Amino acid sequence: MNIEVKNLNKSFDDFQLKNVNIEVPKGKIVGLIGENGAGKTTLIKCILGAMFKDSGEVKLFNKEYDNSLKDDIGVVYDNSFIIETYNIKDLNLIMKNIYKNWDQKLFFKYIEEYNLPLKKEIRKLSTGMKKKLEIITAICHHPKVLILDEPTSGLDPVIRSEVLDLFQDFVNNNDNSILLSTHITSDLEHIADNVIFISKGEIIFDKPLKEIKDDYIVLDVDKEELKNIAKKDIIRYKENRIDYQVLIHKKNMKTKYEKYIKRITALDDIMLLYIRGV
Amino acid sequence: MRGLIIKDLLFIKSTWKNLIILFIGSLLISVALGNYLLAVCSLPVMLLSSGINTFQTDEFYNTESYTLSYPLSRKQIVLAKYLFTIILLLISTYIGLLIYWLISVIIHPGFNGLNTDMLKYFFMTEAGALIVDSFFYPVIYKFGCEKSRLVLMSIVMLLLGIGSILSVYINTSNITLDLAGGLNFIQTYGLQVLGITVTLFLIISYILSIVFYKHKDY
Repeated sequence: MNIEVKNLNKSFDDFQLKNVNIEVPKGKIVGLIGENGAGKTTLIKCILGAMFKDSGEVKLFNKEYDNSLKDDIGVVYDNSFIIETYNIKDLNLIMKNIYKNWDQKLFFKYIEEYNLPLKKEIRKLSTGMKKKLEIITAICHHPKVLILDEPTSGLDPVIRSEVLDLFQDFVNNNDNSILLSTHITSDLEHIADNVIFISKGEIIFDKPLKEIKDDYIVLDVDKEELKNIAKKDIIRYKENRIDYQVLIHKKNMKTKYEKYIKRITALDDIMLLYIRGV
Repeated sequence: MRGLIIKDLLFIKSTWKNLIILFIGSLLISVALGNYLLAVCSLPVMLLSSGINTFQTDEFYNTESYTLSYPLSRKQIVLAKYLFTIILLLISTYIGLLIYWLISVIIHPGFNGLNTDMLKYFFMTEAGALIVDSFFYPVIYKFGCEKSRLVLMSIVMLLLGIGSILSVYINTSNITLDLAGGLNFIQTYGLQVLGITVTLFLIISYILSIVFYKHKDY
């Protein structure tokens, strides 16, 4: 196991992470989804030691938490990076003096491959270029785990696809893994092995993506049709302007509901119904 | 840890144009006044106060979360900041002495009469800047840059208040202060005392910074 979190608790005045348990196995991409303020970034910060946990256990590479283990972790945060008045050469100079295994050759290989300008100030790069640079910086010390907080936000579909390819290459050796927190659940549907859904500081589910797809189904019904669905079968439902969306377990699917299935269930639907449904 | 020191030094490098402009300004004022103290002291003071600016820049770019993801302990992160300040002190001393030499040898050859006092003032200015840094660093680690301004303002007001009360007390009571003796002591041992005081301030400041930083969430 590359990351193991057990019974993690962290309280603030207005928010609490409650008994969070997650695992990030070797060779897997684990997606972390949830609404804004659900606790994704807090969880990541507790794993990385930027925040102190109130109780619980965080293990990295099956060892008790230790700063030296962070040599094997690459991080991309949302909305922060290095001081942006620096250029890429400065960034290389800093990183090679921080990480023991910093691979300068690999770094400049990627820089060339993605056509990033060496001497331009980072703040003058486009959003896509900056994000690519952050991701490249996170992987060039050969970490075993990438922890990524919204790494694809603000990117156009082409660049997003390039970045997702990079992530898939990263886990190809079966030893590496990724914990990927994102709002763009369609990204996860392409690359994630497991998905953890966190809401209001609690883990709602932590399952293989395939199982989630097989497990849930969303029905589109009107008010009258809603009455035909047994209450015990409904996990959540949400009223829209003209119809209702109903989330049920596939095992509870009955022949009479089949006419209400109108599309393939996406992670977005499940997340939305859990958060906004009743 | 070296990486963090380099990061801060690169920040100073990126502000060199501003520093040069400010230095030229202070040099022109010095020439106009016929007193070169400002020219000798300005650049070192600006450099030493840059230590505080690096905190503000870190906060502005929200780099602290990244810093804590590096394979470094919190103690090492704090130590890097203090080592960076000591490097700034060495650079500022070197530059200050160089400016002093340039003024006394090239720009104003007949400047020798003032030399000893000028150097004293220069070192005192450096010490003052370091004491300000020593105050600021732990307060920033505890409260962040924004709040620390308010906290320091409150401390200054408090000290002024205590000073005022003391002065009123001294004036109304029969206490006599041996000011001449005090000045003599400062003349004779001033620099040594200042050196020891600054070192003590830095050590206490470092310990407090570690205590505050070790318990802070980012």
